[in-house]
Amino acid sequence: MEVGIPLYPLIALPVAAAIWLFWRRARQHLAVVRSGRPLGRFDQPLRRAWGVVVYVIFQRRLLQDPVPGVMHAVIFWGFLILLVTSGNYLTNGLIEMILRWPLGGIAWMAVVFVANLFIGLILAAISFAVWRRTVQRPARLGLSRDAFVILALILGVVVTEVLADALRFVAVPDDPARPFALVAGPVSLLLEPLGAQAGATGFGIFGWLHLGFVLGFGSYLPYSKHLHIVTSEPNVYFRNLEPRGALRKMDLEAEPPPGEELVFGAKGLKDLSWRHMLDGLSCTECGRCMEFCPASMTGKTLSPKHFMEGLRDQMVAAETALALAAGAQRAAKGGAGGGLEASDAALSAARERAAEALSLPLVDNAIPEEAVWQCTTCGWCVEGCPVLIEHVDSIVEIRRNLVLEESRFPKELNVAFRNMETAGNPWGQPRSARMDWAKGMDVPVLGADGVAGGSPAATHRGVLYWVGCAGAFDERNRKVVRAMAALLKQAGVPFAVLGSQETCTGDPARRAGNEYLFQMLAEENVATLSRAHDEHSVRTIVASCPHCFNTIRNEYPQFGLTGVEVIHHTQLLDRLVADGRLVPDVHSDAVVAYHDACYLGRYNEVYDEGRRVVASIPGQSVVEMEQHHRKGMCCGAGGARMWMEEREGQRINHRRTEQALATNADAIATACPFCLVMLRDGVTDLERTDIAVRDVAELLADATGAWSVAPTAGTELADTPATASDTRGFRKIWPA
Amino acid sequence: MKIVVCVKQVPATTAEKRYTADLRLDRAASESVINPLDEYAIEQALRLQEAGAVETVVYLSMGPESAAEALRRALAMGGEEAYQVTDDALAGADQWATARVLAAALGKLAPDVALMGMSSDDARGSLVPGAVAAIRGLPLLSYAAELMLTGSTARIRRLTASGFDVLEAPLPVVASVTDQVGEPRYASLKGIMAARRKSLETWNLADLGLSAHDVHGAALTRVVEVRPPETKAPTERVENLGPAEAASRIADWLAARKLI
Repeated sequence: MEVGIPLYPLIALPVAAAIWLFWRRARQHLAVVRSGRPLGRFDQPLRRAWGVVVYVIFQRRLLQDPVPGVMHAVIFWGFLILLVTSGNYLTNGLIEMILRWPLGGIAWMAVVFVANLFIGLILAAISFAVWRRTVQRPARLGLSRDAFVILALILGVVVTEVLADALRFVAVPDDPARPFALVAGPVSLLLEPLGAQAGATGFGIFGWLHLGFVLGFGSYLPYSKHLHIVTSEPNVYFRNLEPRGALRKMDLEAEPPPGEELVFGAKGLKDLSWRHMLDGLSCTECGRCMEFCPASMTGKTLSPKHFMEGLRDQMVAAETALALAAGAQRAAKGGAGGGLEASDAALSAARERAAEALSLPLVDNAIPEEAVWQCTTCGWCVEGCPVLIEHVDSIVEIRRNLVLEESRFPKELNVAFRNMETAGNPWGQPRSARMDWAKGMDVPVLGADGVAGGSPAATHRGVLYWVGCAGAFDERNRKVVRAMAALLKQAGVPFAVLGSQETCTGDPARRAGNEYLFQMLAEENVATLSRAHDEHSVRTIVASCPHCFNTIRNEYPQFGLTGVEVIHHTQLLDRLVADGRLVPDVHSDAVVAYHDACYLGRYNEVYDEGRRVVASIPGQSVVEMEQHHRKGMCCGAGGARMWMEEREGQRINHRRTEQALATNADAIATACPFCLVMLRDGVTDLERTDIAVRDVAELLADATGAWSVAPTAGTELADTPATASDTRGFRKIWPA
Repeated sequence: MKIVVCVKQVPATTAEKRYTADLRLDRAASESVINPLDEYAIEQALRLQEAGAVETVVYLSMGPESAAEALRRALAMGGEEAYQVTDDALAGADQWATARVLAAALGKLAPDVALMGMSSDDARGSLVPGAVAAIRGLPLLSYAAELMLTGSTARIRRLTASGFDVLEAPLPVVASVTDQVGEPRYASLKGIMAARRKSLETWNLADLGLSAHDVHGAALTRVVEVRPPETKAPTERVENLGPAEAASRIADWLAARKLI
C-alpha cells in the first residue's frame, strides 16, 4: 500500500505561517545587531569555518563538561539527523524516494537506523535534562519556563515522528526499512492489531502533528533563548582570532561620525560591536560562565550569564522601538496627500525613540554598576562558553565609557590611576627606587649610565629581564625577583634589566577602562623596548609578572613592538631545568598545590611549565586543586581588582585559599606577584600560615642553591652581530 | 559669581629632585603635577559650580611655560578658562613676590572668591593666601574644610581640635582649603579633550603693570642651602614572637629611650 501525507498541498499554509512568524522576529533581531559598531571579523574564512566544525559540529566546549555535554551532543546530533527525516515529512517522502534509489536503498536504511538510534538517545537525554532541572538543579541553571517549553517541543517532534513512522509500518508491514527502525519498529509491533487501514489513517494524523511540531519549534526559536540553534554558528564563525589577552585598541583621536557625538567605550547598545550584540542572542542561559566565575562563586552581584540575559532583554526592548520607527517610515512613504505632514512628525518621533532605545545606558539596565567593577577579567566565562561569547570585552568597553566619559569608578582606583600617571607604578613609589630590589646583587642595567644599583651592560647578548612594578616595589615580591636574578646567574644566562627606564605596562589601567592612561604608558614602554631591540640587540624579554608578560606579548604589538619573543619566567626556568643548566638537587618532600595565574594559563596557555619546575625538585610533588588548568580559579586581583576594595560576598582569595587547603598540601606555588600576595593574605586570614605560599622561582632557587652563587653577572656569549631581522628564539640564545 | 582658583605646578612627590647651581629645582628632571592641595581647591570650586552657587570657574597660575600643563589638567577637571603669568624675571620668586604677582593678576580678574590650596606641596610655606589677602585688602578665610556662598557673603567651616569653627566674611574674599573638602575628581578623557578647546591666556609682568624690580626687589627670603633629609637609622623590627614577648620587647625599647 502506498501511504503519503493526506492533503499534502495544504502544507504551504503552515510553512508560510512559520516562515512569517520566524522572519517577523528575526528581522527585528537583525536590525538591532546591525546598529552596532563595525568590527572586522571577515578575514581567514577557512579558519573561521573550521571553528564552526570544532565548536558546533564536534561540540568541543560542551564535551569538556562530559555529563551534560554528552546529553547536549546527543540532542544536537539527533537534531541533525532529524533534519533529514523531518525534511522527508516536509517534502512528503521526496528525500526517502531519492535515498531509496541507489544500491537497493542502503542510504535510506542508514538514515532510518541512525535516526532511530538518536531518537532513543534523545528520549533518554530529555529525561535526564528534566531530572537535572527539577531534581538535581545545579546552581548555574535557573528554573526557566522557556527551557521546559523547548524540551516539550523536542519531545513532541520526536514522539510524533516515532508514532507516524510506526503507523506507517503498520500500514506497510513489509517496508524494508522496518528492521532498521530500532524504536519505531518495535512500536509498530505493538500497534499491529489496529490493522493496515487504521495505520494509514493514523500515519496521516501523526504525520501532520509531526509537521506541526517541527514548524512550531522553528517559528518559536526567535522568541526564545533557544535561538542559539541559528545564532551560535555565526557567533562562532565571527569569533576573535586575535590573542585573547589583547583588548581592542581604541582610537582616541577618532573623529565622531557626522551628526553624532563621539562615544568612548560602550554606553548604550549601539556602542557595542555587532558581534558583541550577537553574543546576547547566542546565550542559551546554560550558566557555564557563572559556574566558575570568581565573582558569582563568592556571592557577588556579577554573573556573566545575567549580563548576557540583561543584554538580550535590552536588545529586545530596543527592537520594539526600532520596529515602530520602521513602521512609521513605511507609513510615511505610503502616506499620500494631506496625511504627509502628520506622518513626518510621527516618523521623526519614532526615529527619536529608536535612537534613544539604542543609546540607553547598559549600566543599570543590562548590568548593575557594581557588577561592572566586580569582574576580575579572569577569562573563565570566555573560556567556558560553548558558543564563544566574549563577556570580558563588553565589560571592559562599559568600564571604558564610565572612566573616559564620566570619571565614574570605585574611588580607590583614583589613587592607582594617579600613581601610574605620575610615578609610573600603581604603588606610587619613586622611579628612583626601581633598583632597590637588587641591592647587593650586581644586576646589569641595560644602557645604564650610572643608574643606582646597576652596572652598565652596553651591548647585550642575552635576555632582557622585565622586573615589573610588583617585583620592584612590593616587599614580598622583591624576594621573587631576587630569586630569578640568582637563578639566571647560576644558569649563566646573560641578562640585564631596564632599571628606572621601566614603567608600569598599564595592564591595570587598561583593564580598569582607562585606555588613555594605558596608551600613554604603552607608548613609553614600547619606545624603551624598541630601543633595547635596536641598540642592544634584545630579542627575548622574560617577565616575572603574567600581567606584564601578557601585555608586552599580546598588546604591545598594537603599538609597534616587533622582533622580540616574550616569555614568562616559568617558561625559561622549565627550559633551563630541562637543559640541565639548573640542577635542583636539594631534596624536599613537600606536596605543593599549584595555582594557575589567569593571565598565564587561560590567556596564554602556559599551564605546565610551572608545574614541571615544581615537580623537578627531588621528592617534591604537585597536587591539583578542585579547579585547575583551564578551570583554575582567579585569586581575585586581576582586572585591576588588586586596587579596588572587595565589598560584597566572600573574599575571592579566601575561597581560592580554601581550595588549596582542601588538598592538604604543604605549600602553595604561584607564578604571579598578585596571586602570591592574595594567597599569602588568604592563608594569613584563615590562620594557616603553616602553609607556605611561594613563587615557583623561589622554590627552585632553594633547590638549586642559587642563593649561594656569587653575585656576578652572567657570562657574555661570543659577540655575533645581530641584525634587525634577527628573531632568534630564546632557546637559541645560549649554547646547549 | 566668579571664582578664581590659584593653581601651582609642583614636582610629583615621587619624583627624583635635582637642583640647579643657583639652588633652584631642575624642573626638566622631574615629572610635575598640580599641587595636590590645589586640586582640593579646584574640587571645591567645581562643586559650588555644580550646585549652582557659582557661574564661572577660572584658573590662575604663576610659573614657567611648562606650567601650562597644570592649567590644562585643571581645565580637564572642569571650569571655563585659565590665565598663566609667566616671565623670565619670575624665576626664583619667593612667597612674597609670588603673592604680589598673584594679587596683581587677581586685580585684573576681579573674582568674588580667590581660592587656593592651604599650602604648596614643594615649598610648604603656606603664606601666599594670607599675603594675597593682605595686599588686596580682602578678608581671608583660611584652612576651610568647606566653602559656602550665600548671595553676598562667603562662609567656611574650619576643622579645629574641638569641632568646627564657622567663619563668615562679605565678598569678595580670599579663601584657602584643606583636604577636607572632598576627593578631587579624576579628569575624564572627555574632559581632557574639552580642555584643549578652552581659553588659556598668557600674561607677562608688563601685562600686570609690574616690573622685574617689583618682584625681586620685593623678595624677603633667600635660599641658602638645599639638601636631602638625613636617612633614618633602619627600622628595628620585632618579628616572629608571641604577643606577650613582642609586647615586652617593645616596652623595653620604649623604656630604654625614656618614652614610657
